[in-house]
Amino acid sequence: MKYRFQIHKRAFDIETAPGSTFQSETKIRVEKKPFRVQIGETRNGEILSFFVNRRLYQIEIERDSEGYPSGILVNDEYYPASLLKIDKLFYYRSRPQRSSRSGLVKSFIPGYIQKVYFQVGDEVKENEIVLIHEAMKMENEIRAPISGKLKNLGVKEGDNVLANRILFEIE
Amino acid sequence: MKRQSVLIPNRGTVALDIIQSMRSMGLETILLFSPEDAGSLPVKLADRSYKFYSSRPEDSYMDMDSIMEMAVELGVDFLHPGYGFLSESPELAEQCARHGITFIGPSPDVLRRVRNKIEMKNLARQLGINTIAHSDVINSPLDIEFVSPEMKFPVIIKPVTGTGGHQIRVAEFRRDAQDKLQQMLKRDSIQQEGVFLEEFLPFAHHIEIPFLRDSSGNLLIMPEIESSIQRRFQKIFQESPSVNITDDLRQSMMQDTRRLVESLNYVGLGYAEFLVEKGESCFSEINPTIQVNTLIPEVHMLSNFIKKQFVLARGELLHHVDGLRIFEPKHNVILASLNAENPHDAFRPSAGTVKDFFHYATIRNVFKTSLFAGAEVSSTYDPNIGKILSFAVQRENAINDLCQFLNTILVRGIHTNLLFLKKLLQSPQLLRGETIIDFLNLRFEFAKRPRSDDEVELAAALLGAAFHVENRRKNYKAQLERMKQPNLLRRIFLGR
Repeated sequence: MKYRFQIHKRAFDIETAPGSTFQSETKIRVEKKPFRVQIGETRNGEILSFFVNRRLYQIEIERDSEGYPSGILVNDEYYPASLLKIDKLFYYRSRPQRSSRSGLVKSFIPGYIQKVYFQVGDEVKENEIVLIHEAMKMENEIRAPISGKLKNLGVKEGDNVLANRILFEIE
Repeated sequence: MKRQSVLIPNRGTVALDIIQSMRSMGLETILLFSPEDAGSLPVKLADRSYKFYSSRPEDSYMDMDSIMEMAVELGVDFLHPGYGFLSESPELAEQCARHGITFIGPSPDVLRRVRNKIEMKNLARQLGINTIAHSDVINSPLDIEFVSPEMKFPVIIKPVTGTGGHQIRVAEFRRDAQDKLQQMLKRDSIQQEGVFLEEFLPFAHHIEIPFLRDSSGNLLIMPEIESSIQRRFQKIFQESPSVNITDDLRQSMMQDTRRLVESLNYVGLGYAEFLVEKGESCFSEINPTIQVNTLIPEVHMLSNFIKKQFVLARGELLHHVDGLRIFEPKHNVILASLNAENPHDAFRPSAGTVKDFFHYATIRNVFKTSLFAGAEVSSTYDPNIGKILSFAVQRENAINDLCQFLNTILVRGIHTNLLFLKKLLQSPQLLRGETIIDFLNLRFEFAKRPRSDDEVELAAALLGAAFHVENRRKNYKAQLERMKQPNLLRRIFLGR
């Protein structure tokens, strides 16, 4: 099987024998360079660690909303990643990341809205701070994911918000 | 005689420490906990626990009326407030006194005086102690016009009676200060007492002098702690003794501390905070509670300070202290704070269920944490989830040991700052002792560390292998599903 991943701003062709289970030391090629990889520990079907050249690496795979890898933690070190294709036939990730971004921003944890810098109808540029969300004794700057008009503002200054509530929406 | 009891309206490691220490003094430990902490370790370990109705801080650990009501109803003998929340509240101490409950901490009068940062600075100046340049109390954003033009920017803006670092702001220039003042003064709690501006010294060292004083005036002063390295005014890395002060300066700070606590007639455990720049010290404030870094003097002296607080609150005297005793350190002790935050995403707090947790310590490591596999880390409170300490005669060895210990810790399910701590401990600037207040902005770069090709290739191999296994399993399942389809045509076309 061939996979093409983008990892840490570089694209890699990864090749492995189709039947590989990695239960015993198995060869996998990254850009033709061989690695001998074996599963260390699994739990509920999820792989927790791998041996590479007899050295153990703890891994944790971060996933996007569709369940595809969006990053990998190797011994706590983070690498952003995305799947480009599987073999030659399937292009899972043909659309560019930008268009998939929505202008809807939700609170990721409960907190307190300390400051709102814009009003409904204002033009907001990408990456501008829209509001300050305070949680766990920290101030989190919530930035605009895209440029556009602020269509909807779900909170006002001084509000306490729960997790996963709509903070604002940009169109 | 009825067994005496202590009420603990707090959470996390400090609640655990209090439960353990008070129980070993023979007391019954009664915990008050918020609904979100129902599965936490303190609840599992306390003798008895009672739940608050709501998890909001102001309806739980900050709700003085409910806490006092419980204390009176349960007929407790002592109340240990821990740190944070209401621990520095003179009102709570006063209420305890009124109901005949012994508050484990300084007297309400002392708490009231040390709470007012400006009054403390005035007191220090009267005693001839250097203080940092600061403004008068500001109650409205317009008051900034009256701030002396001699005030140098950047400044930090602090609530006059604030506790903890999260309310402090840095302002680069006058206009910026005005905006931030406006924001801060919107909060009722800050508005009542006002805020003040203080010169921001990014290159200074933050030094704390821990002390214990009994009711006869015997004073024990412990080695200073340098806690310069902070993020958002939360301490990340602390060490004792500091490599950045001379013996003369140490002596003079200890004498300053002595004069301050004697004039306050302070009884109990406390910390005098100083900023040190260019070989001169400026007094900043007194912290009247046990802290995360209390572990450092505890290791220096091999003693339990919660027990010491307890006996001092009962009016007993310090052992082996006659007049003044300055404790000489035998070790270098360093302490790192383990936080639930994502270093790869601007240190955003991280909440969730801990899936996996293990560690392995040597005899020179202390690891205090409320984590366990299955623990829920909530986002309502402080992101601090543990403190990790190491000590050795040589500073470099202590740092190296701590780093090795960090390598044995694994936490899965939530993000932690472990990797950040490892990188911090390996930074040459830290090893050289260039620990300054703005270290994380001026002396250390975490995010931009370049990754070698080998590292990225290895990550690619691991991700490839993991994805392959997963994909293979998924395809196999899909094939099985297809085989079950009754449609013969489908089987001919699709079932290979």
